[in-house]
Amino acid sequence: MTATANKSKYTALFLGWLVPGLGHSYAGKTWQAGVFFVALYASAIAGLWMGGFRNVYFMPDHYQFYAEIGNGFLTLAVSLVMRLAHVSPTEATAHGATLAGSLPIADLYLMVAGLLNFVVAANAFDAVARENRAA
Amino acid sequence: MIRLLHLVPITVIIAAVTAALAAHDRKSFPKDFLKAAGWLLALFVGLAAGAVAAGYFL
Repeated sequence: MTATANKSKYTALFLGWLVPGLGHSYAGKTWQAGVFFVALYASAIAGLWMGGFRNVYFMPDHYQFYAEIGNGFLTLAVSLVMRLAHVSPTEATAHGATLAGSLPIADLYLMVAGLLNFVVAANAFDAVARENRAA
Repeated sequence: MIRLLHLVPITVIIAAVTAALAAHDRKSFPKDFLKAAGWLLALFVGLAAGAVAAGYFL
């Protein structure tokens, strides 16, 4: 019987999406959880800071949101606060710079963190599923 | 050029996550991190060289 036996893989997936590394923490992989939490939150918060904490919102033409939603709680919280406080969204302009034509660099940081967290959450799901099969 | 410097922290983040996914234990993490960072930097340098050659980022 291993540490992750009888744990729910869907819980690991949800927790991993909600907060980077939480799924691995749930699966008993603490040091990996720490790496994911620090690396992905550093990227996401850097992106938010560069965008003045006003660059995460849902609108049909803001396609970055579909990647940023991978940051889970952070994305939901900023979107909700912006909506409740009637803060007008703005495209991020980190030093006025964009990358690859029109993509703001701040959004790049958030998108990288969000997309990586989808992979990390799926890995937490897989880790629990494997341990449950082995048990 | 300043814009391209943003690829350095992004490389570190992607390499750290890749290494943590690949590493079997904490001891093998630094080696996997350096390996992933090396491959990513080589990829980005290659892409940047191609982009500059094609007239972007000038």
